Amino acid sequence: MASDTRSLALEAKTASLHQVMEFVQKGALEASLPEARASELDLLIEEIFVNVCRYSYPDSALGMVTVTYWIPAPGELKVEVADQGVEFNPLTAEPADVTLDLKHRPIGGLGIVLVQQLAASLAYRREEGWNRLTFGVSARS
Amino acid sequence: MTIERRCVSDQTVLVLSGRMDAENAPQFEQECNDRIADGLTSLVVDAGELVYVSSMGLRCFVAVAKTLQSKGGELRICSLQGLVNQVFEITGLKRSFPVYESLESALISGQK
Repeated sequence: MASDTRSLALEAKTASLHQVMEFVQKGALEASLPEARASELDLLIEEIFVNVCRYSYPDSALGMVTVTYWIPAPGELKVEVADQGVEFNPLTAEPADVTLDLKHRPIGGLGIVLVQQLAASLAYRREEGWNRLTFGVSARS
Repeated sequence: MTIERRCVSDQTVLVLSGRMDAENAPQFEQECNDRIADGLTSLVVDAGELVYVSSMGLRCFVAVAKTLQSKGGELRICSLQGLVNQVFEITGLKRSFPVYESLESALISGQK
């Protein structure tokens, strides 16, 4: 049976990153995720949250982000990151070419690669001006 | 994250400990750029105690490596383990940089 949801609303600034990580790690504990998955969770939330901070609200001083988690089953954690910034779907974004040598590599673009590869599940929807990205972390993956 | 600078076999080694994320990755890039401004053209990064790195950290590694490459030198990385090793694998960076199992092998490679 799914647990209750827990939500945190905060300003989209990189300085809030550790606050967001502490928040979702409570979910990791409640879901009894092993340490390896808990570390991957930190990485996933960082990549997604920092991406929102950097790109979602280009014309505003600051926007808001809501991070929500729930436990659909023991050993499973789902996290949704929602923002009202520019539309962006990481599932359809072109990932960086990881076969390029150093000279030809761009400096950025690796966050999406990590999210696409590490999340057990990934879903996006654009709804009434909100980007809603949901990812799952599983003890079994 | 702590960054310890050592000189071993006439080579500069930066030993990273802890976690490199969006907040402190610029500290690593700044340290490298300071060494480059001092005239350094090659560098070994010992990642044996680095337990976490995000894409912001990877950006810094790539940027520093490109700078050193442009000066005819290189960034060598050793002792990748755990999640950090996994991140370097997923992003293909283990093929983009010279990566070594140990500090010793990284240092031997740098002796010309």
